[in-house]
Amino acid sequence: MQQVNLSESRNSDNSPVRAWPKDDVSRVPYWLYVDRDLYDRELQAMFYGPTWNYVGCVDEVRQPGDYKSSWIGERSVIVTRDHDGALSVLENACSHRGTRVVWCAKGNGSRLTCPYHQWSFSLKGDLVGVPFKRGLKGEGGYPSDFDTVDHGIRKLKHVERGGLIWATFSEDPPDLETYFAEALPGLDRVFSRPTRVLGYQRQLLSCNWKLYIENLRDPYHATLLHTFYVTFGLLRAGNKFLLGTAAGGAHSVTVTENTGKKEKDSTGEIGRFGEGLTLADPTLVTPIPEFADGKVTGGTLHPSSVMHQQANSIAIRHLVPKGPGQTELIWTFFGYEGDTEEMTLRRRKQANLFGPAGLVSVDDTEVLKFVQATAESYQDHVGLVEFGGRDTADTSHMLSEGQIRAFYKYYRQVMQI
Amino acid sequence: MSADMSATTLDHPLKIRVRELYEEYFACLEAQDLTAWPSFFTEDAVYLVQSDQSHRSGLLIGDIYCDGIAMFRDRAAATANTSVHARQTIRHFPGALKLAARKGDLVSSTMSYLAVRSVTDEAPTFFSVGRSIDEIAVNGDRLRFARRTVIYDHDRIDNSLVFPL
Ligand SMILES: [Fe+2]
Repeated sequence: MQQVNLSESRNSDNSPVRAWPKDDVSRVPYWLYVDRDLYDRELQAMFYGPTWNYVGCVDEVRQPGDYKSSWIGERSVIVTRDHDGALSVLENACSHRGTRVVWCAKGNGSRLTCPYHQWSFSLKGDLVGVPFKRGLKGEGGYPSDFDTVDHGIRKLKHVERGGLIWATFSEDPPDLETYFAEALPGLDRVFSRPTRVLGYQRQLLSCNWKLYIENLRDPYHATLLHTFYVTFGLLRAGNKFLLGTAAGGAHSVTVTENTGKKEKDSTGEIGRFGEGLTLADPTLVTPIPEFADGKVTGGTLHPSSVMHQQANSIAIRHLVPKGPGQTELIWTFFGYEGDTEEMTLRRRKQANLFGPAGLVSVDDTEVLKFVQATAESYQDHVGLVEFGGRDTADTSHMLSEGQIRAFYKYYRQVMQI
Repeated sequence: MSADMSATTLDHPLKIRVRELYEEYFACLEAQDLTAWPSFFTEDAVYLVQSDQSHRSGLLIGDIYCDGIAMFRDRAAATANTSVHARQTIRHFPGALKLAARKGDLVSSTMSYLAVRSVTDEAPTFFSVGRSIDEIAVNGDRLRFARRTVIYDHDRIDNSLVFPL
């Protein structure tokens, strides 16, 4: 049995040493998914920092007066459409005592009114009503220098692009184009036409948010864990992939082709392969041709968003961290304005692959829970991320963990660890 | 027969048969008998599982959608043969049953439910609670769901919904 050198692995207070285990990113320490201080720093530096976060789409706030609540990190925010058509993204916190102003997922009205003391705000977040502002019969109320102009709800910088709404807590964010960099064309490719929300799926994952990001940057598991893909011919290990990253590893771009055809060559290594399984309704996985390039794309958009276009399924997955060990995942499924009934039906059918009941996604949800369980109980262990080498270069095949390494290269710079 | 005929005027044996359908359906789910699961639906049945919020918004996509018996068979086969998940037991407790109306060979029915899940090494959880709005075909050799919409009261699913509701 290997001896544990306590002087190297423990601080003087016997807490585990929080240092990166190796000078490259081919190792990831398990405390990374558990440490509360680190998690709080991630919220500040990433979710509340100079990043762009998905908060909703124009279809959700189409009518004047529409508003919805959303999330950036653990913070609730409000997305509004004012009567002049302007979009705003606001902190969902009353400027008086901080009460959450909007308690529901969606609504419509001309004012946002805090239930606690009935302060009311315009849909742009300006304070427009304060009960007893000057007191009653000369008694009480706010001081004479109290000015409602100074007490609006904080407005967040936001950008609408291709029907998606992005927001940031930063007062000085990079512009969206610079931020998403090489990941932007992939996003624009899918969100270049007016979209309609077809539905949502929401689930609470029992894992750290980074484990979910890693999962999406891990093509190694795709044909091994997800026998569904291989069995029904959506993916095989020999598939041509483009695995890229953007903005120094912050975002990832995955492009592959849906050949829709089962081949036996590379499935030999998969023990659970269900030989002879065919779909009674192949439209579950077969796309109606939609994109001229025939490609299937996806990517992680740091820190809180994921885009997928698989077959005819188009979705944004919104990551809402709920502490180091839990992450809510909100899937918004889209169709395009003017979709035929046949296309809408296809998108509905193909949503079966995703979310909490996803014929593919269930595997990820279940596995990640057990990765987190190990991380929490073996915090001094490290994960091995050496598949396909130790570098962070883009690859044209799926037998690499390069996108995970690229993420941690970026992560270490931001977090200074 | 009038479409808005109230449940109280429905013949008593039918209500017993409907209750039996639910009991057999839940027994099938509890046994995780995925092979038998599609047999509770008609050839052209439509099945949707979604949150109450999604249902109230009239959204087309939920967590599970089957349109036609082939999709039921595919979900059953995929869950049985390709899904990776922790071993779990789910108990289904049927609640209040309300038969709303009978239109020809279809009976509209609403049933509330509670599903309690026990996952290996974990305490049981009230994993899902809600109601279903169903249309039950009463012709043929046995009762079958022609349409089943399961509407859960909560906004999200704790981890996975491996098996149908
Ligand atoms: Fe996966």
